[in-house]
Amino acid sequence: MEFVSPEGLRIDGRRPQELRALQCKFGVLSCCDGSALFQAGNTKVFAAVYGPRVADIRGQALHDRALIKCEYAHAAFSTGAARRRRGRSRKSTELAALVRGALEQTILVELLPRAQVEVCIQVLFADGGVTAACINAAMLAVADAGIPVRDMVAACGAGHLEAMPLLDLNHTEAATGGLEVCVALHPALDRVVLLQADAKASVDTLEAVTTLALQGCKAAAGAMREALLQHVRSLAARRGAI
Amino acid sequence: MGALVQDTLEPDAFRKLYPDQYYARFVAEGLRPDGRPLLQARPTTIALGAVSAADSSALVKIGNTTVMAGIKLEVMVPVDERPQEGQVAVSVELTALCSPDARPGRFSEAAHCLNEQVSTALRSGGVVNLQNLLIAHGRAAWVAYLDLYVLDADGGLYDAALLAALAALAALRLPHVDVDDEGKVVPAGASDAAMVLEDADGQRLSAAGPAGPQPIAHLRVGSLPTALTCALYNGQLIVDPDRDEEARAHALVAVTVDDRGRLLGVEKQGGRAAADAAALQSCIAAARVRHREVASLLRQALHAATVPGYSGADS
Amino acid sequence: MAAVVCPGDRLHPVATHRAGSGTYVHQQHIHASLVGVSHLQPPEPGSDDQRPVVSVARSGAQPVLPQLGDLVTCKVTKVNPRLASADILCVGNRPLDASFTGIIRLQDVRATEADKVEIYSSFRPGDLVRAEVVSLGDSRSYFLSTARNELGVVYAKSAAGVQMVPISWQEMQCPQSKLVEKRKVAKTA
Repeated sequence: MEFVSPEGLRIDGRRPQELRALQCKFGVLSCCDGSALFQAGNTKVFAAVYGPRVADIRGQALHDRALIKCEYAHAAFSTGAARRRRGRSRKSTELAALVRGALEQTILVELLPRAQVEVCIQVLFADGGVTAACINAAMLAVADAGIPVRDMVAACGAGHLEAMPLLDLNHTEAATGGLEVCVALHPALDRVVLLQADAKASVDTLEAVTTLALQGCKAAAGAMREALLQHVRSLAARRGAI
Repeated sequence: MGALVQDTLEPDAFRKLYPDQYYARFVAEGLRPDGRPLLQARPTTIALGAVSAADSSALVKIGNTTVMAGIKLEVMVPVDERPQEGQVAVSVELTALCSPDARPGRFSEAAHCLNEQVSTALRSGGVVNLQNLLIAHGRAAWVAYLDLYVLDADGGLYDAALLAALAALAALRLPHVDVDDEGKVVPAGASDAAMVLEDADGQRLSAAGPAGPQPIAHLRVGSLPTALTCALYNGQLIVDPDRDEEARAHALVAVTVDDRGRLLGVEKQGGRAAADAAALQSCIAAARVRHREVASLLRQALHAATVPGYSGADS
Repeated sequence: MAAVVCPGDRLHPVATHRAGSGTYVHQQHIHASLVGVSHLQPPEPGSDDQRPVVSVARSGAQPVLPQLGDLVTCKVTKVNPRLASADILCVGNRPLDASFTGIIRLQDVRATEADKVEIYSSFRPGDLVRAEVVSLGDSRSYFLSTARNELGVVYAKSAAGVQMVPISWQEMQCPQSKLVEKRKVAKTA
């Protein structure tokens, strides 16, 4: 199968360095302190934040900072492949740990001693770029909950197919097993928070793909920022604050 | 002096400190804190096909309560005792998102109960004729894995879960397939099938053959049973309670009815008060009224998704 | 001066402005830590620090945490001879979204005759109590005190389940059964 046509179009009609259409919604769930729905193309992820609140297990609370917990789950029908049986797999645990790591560097944990912030992620449709989408959804939910953070965190993936770096691989492109990189960035502070790469590649290829992923992060950060500002403006307009 | 303290409180603080009095004051006026009359259900929406990775999907919202249903089809060998039937396997999960108390990993009692309720309602309502899932007698049949995820638990979980299950089943399309000489399941009309579909050990069935999308048939659904949960409080009937109202109710009754208004199930789970015959009768009457509203919404949604057999008009 | 800002946005340098709530300082600059509307508050005339305060306010609900010195309303959950345990429900007039636990220790129940206090004669499970936060406590709960006249039980139900009427600073009476029960009653002006 050819992933990039002679005219330079990928199987879903995008250009090699084009991000999928992003959509962000806030306050989508009622029982939690903050929630968001993040979509990149078909990939659809819900995130809910419970906190800051008293730690579930008292012994786990930290005296000088907040405890960040992360739960990840995906729907059995979330991929185009066979139905995924429920239950924790190593991949699920790793994903939860990656999101938690990105959030621990983002949330101002020293401002919330002895509190717990729990982020719950549910993937409904996994069409590639799941790690990045989970981080982005978690960020939006944390912002919706009003938890203080030092910066936004925006994540994006990129890969290398047919000798070309491609931005934001979908499931079919990622399934080929080539190099895939996921990067998370603090855009205002210009700090890389997460870098994860699968598959062997030369240093040059890795660098090219990572640079492309960073550009994707900045584009995603811009879109998420716009969506957040729009949401807050409409809330404030309704309350007459602006 | 205690009463004076109560009256000087802000409504939000009063609601937090004296929740029973807050709620009782509303009910005495025939209303609820969200402004609904006692007998009115919350706004309900049904969205089909949100997840195209699934063979059928439906997202149902009743007020804030949100349930997502998705169906994945796999091929199985029919069991010996029932060689001309497929299966529908229902699974319900309360996601970590849906409430501060739901914790994944521990398969909660509430999820088990919901699972039983939905499976029973689908069976006793005759929703799916399992023979419609047959591919080849005794050799291959479809198993429809129906997974329900509760994303937001704000009361009436059973009502929403059953509706989502129903919507997903009614919108389900079955690929046209045949069983070839070697016992493998292949798309119907494929000559040298570039994509051969495996069987029996649960491997993925691809619906796109070499000639493009396959002709597919809708699963014909037998009936549309719906459910309504009611709360009994201070002798009043409260229709479609949300999470707070369910916690406050003296008793909760869930009634399932079918298209002809016949009773498919009544369940009263514990509670602090008994429900007498008159109360049960009013619950059943309310469930029949609700059935008309919900069945009409479902038919409109199926009609808009071009599922044949649903005209969208009230029938 | 109301602009909507995102977390990480650089607002003002530390040299000319002071960081208020919803912001933090990084490398001599004030950055927003919340998404919301930024406000600039002019300095108090005649104060030492003449820099205006920049803060960011969420237009939605702000997560509320009890602070030292806050007056809180809590509901007693457990009573034992050494302390009463309670769920903090409101801080001032604002209800809390999450639940926090508070403890009223024997020595914090009242100011006078503190050695003769009996917890069981002061609080019972289910009572609503007005108290002051005296310490952020240990990792489990806040420490609360009712050792002022206007602090103590504001609402209690008798054994018969009826709301009781206070008759003195340490007794309440059930209007139905006329039985008197002992509580540390809050004095309402």
